Formats: sequence, C-alpha cells, structure tokens
Amino acid sequence: MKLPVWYRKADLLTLPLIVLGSFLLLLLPLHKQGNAAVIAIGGRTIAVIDLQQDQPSLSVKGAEGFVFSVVNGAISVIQSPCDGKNCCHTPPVSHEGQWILCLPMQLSVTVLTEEPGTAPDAIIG
Amino acid sequence: MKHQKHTIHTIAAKLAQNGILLALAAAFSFLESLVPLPYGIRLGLSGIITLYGIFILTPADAAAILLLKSLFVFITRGFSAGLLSLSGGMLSLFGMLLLAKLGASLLMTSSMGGLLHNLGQMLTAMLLTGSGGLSFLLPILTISGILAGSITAWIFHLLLQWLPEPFLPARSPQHKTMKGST
Repeated sequence: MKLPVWYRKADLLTLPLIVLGSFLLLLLPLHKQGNAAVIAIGGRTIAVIDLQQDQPSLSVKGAEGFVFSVVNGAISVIQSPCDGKNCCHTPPVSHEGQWILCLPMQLSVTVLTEEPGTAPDAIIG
Repeated sequence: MKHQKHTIHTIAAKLAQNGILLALAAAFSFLESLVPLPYGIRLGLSGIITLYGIFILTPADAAAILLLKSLFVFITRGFSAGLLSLSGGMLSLFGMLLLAKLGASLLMTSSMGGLLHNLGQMLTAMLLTGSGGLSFLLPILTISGILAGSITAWIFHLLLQWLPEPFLPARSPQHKTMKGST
C-alpha cells in the first residue's frame, strides 16, 4: 500500500477537538456518587460493600489475596494476587458505573447507587 | 533456475524480515507491560510495527505478525492478556486498513488505530468479567488512544526518513529521506 501523507490540516483540527470533547465529558457530572460497590468474580457477586463507611483495609471471603480500601466514599484495590497489578494501579472509583477490573482473576468492582439505608455493610457468599 | 533462485531468496528474506518485526513487536509489548497504567492502557509502541506492516508490507503480513505477537503475550502473560492483545490488535488493524483504503493521513489512521485498540481491549474485558460499562471509560480510552496513536505515527514518520531505500515503497512527497525524496 502506498504511504499516505503524514497529516492533513483537517486532522490538526479534528483530533484536538475529539480530545477536548472527551476532556469535557470527563469533567461533566454525568454520574452521581455511588454508595455501594459490588465485588464479583466471573460475573458472580461475592460481596456488596458500603462506601459510606471507611475501611482502609478490607478483605472479602471469596476474593482471597485481594485487599480493598474504602476511603472517603471511594474504593480501590491495594493488593492483588495477579502478576500485572493493573487493578492496583487503577485510581479509586466512587461514581455510579465506574469499575475496577482484575482480568487474570476475573474480578470486578463496580460502584452503584443503592437506596439510602438499604446498602448492606457486606454480603458474603 | 535463475527465476527459482530469486523466488527462494525473496521468500527467505520475507520470512527473516517478518521474524525480526515479530521480535520487535514482542519486545515492545514486553516493555509496555513494565509500565503499568490504569485501565490497562498501553503506550502502543507495537503500533509502529503494525503501521510498517500495513504500509510497507502487506495486510496479511501485518495480521500474521499481530496474531503471533498475541500468541507470545498469551504464552508469557496468560490467557486474558493474550485475548486482550488479539482483540485490541485486530480491531485496530481492521480500522487502520479501512482508513488507509479511504485515504486518511498517517496521523489520523494511527490515532484512530490507538482508539480502536483501547476500545477492543475494554469490550473484551467487559465480556470476560461479565460486568462494567463503557460510559465513564470512553473519554479516557479516547484521549489515551489518540495520544498514543499520534506518538506512534510521529515515530513511524521519523523512521521513514531514516530507513534505507530497499525497506520503503513509493513514498508520498511529505516523507523525505536523508538521501532526498523520490
């Protein structure tokens, strides 16, 4: 295939516009603060964590090797048995729909919004 | 006999060249894994090899290198990593081939390739875990994909100015070599 031109003038407008638009989407408050996080392995829920209670170090039965941290309404993975540790490098999540994945262990942590007062501290099993 | 000798030499040279490119792609993939970024975002350095495959070799060569690189990732980093590499790489390759056919620039092709790579990986991750949504990730994937793709395009553009003639096809006027443009 013949080499294309390096760039077109339209690209210098289009690409920055797309990036800027994405930045604006990030800043917009499209998602509300969550109050619970679902921990699942292979799509099966093993725990629901209350994000309104700080728990700097939390282990969950069924997710052995993982240590979670709930601080200021956000949850993060601070320890993981996987090799890549991508989940540990993911920033804490706190808004509805945000999630953290550990693919080798098929673990997911998804933030959602429960009705006030109905979110359990934890559900094991 | 002379024609047969030329054909064997060409096949051997092509195999050697593709083998070196595969080794480079695997090395880039390994180097990227040493820089852990959130949401599995990668620097996309092996995109340089994909661009080389698309524009200087053939789409079949690019796909073969991609498949074998994914196999390398599968062997060294496990099933999920290999599947992510394959899905992201294939979606990116098809998207870039389509854009190249439509006459998009190198910058646009590579940027969209980066975006599609991230998108393919994230869709696969969602399927593997059976959870998650794209809405909050899409801006992050878009920004990181376009930035990585733009850097890859720039590096490839610089390489084109340094590669010796036998490694390059007919070039566009914007790609000038140290020896002068064709």
